[in-house]
Amino acid sequence: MSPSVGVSALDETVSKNASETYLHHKEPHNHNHRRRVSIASLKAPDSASLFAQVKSRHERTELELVDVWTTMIPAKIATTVVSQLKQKLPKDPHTLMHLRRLVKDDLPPRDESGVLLSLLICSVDAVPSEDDVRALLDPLSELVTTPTPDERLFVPTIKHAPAFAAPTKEQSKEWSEGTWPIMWRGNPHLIVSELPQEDEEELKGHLERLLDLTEEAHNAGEIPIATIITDPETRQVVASSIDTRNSSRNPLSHSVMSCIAKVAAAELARRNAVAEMSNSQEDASNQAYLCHNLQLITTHEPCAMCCMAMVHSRISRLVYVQNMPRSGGIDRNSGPGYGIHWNKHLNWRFEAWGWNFEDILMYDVDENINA
Amino acid sequence: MGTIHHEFMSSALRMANLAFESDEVPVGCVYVHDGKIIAEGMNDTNRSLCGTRHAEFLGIETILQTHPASIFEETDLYVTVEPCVMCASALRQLKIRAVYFGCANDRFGGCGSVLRINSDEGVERPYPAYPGFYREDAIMLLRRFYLQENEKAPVPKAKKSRELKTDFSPLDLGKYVPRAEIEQLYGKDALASLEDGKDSSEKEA
Ligand SMILES: [Zn+2]
Ligand SMILES: [Zn+2]
Repeated sequence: MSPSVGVSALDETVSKNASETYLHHKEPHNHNHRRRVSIASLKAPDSASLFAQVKSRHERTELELVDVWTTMIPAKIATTVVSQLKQKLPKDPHTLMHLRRLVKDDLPPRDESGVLLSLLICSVDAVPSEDDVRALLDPLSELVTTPTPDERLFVPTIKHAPAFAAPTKEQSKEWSEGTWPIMWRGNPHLIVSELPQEDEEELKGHLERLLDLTEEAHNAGEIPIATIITDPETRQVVASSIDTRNSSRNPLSHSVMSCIAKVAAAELARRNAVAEMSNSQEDASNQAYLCHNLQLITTHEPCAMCCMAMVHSRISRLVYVQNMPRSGGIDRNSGPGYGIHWNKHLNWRFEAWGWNFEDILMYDVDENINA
Repeated sequence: MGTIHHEFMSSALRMANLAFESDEVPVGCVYVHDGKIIAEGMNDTNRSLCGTRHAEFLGIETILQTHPASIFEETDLYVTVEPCVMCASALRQLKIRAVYFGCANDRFGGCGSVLRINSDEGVERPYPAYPGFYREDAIMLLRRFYLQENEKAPVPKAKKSRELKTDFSPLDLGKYVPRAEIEQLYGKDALASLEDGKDSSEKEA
């Protein structure tokens, strides 16, 4: 996107000491410093999207299915049921964010319960035993006050659902036929090719925070790359990091790695505190999948190391501002075109979105840097 | 076989055993500089709750406490399982000299199994990665670990996954090492057996 200001790439020493290139040019002539723009006030023309989905070369993928528990509930109490259920469900080993939670059933209701809805409970891998699912549902069935409730209510049934969000709108429709339907959070009509408006607005706020962090990094003599991890459910920031490879003298202290490590450290501290208080061992089944369902937002397209770290920690969505054509591990045109976020040979996939609008970063980063 | 590479790999296996005893996926490694081991590492993902705490990273951090990063340019890594894509990229960014590994990593391997991070075009120089050193020991350790995990699982797995397999599919050296280098490092027999088997499907790490 922005041309890299700096030493000619012909110079051998650039790639050899790529991390120092930025430092050399920081103090004497600070010509790569641009004015900060207010992201909140940015509006894409003609209601175009501020973010574009980044596809990998593996994108035309086949439908993969995952077994999920579903049941039928009266529409009237749906909100209560969903919120009570959420508190009791274990962490799901599958991402179900792309699936609709509630689906209107085709069959007409048979009694005075009114409209019936199908509810997605969790994956079968999360709760393998039907008895355990019944145990989750039984207390909820008491919310039904009608004298002769439909016998299909709160009965667990296994259905197949697409394991991942479809890469294209057309595939999304195709995949939803005959399986549990895919949806895009917040807007069932808008599937994957655009982010929902409220997500875009939320992301603008996170980008402002990222700009603060790059300024902080720049002032500390670090490479101005920054990352934050957020929880899409609560829209809260879970952790944030800047690149620290200059001060740490560790070329691998990338902001993505540090941010993931922070999430783990916080969870470890929390568990230790809980264990100390209750003197009990907590369930440790989901140990290595801590960033599951979390969103990672970063200034630059991450390198292969950081992309794979996101696979290992089960990040659900990546958003980044600037492409790194030499070192990035996402875009099909970056480096050898790894597309690590969507490689069918790897055991996890996540969506990737790139900034699709005018330049907002204030500092250039050498193209040979691994972000 | 008793080459210097096997000697260093047996130290890496010792670290993998330590990981096994600590309820971690049994992967271990040592870094060798000037013929001496300068750091060891073992998997630490379960204890730390951090899915990125692989054996390679623990060794790297130990080295950087007392050395500049430039030492990796003359350092070799011996690791019981092929480095994953993340570690393969980290090692390339550090400009590691060479990597010797035990068994392939068909799920995440970044040195030839899933991606070829070590040899593809890239910002830093490529590095060679040689498989097969004490490969069967590395595989058996992983099998024993996953067997134990399956037994601990709340819902017992099918009987088949509760038996310790002891057979090995042949390693497809040609997938990882240029032909020209095979004879030098693995001997004439290796080149010959390359013509027979073509499968290296161990599902590990
Ligand atoms: Zn990185
Ligand atoms: Zn690794």
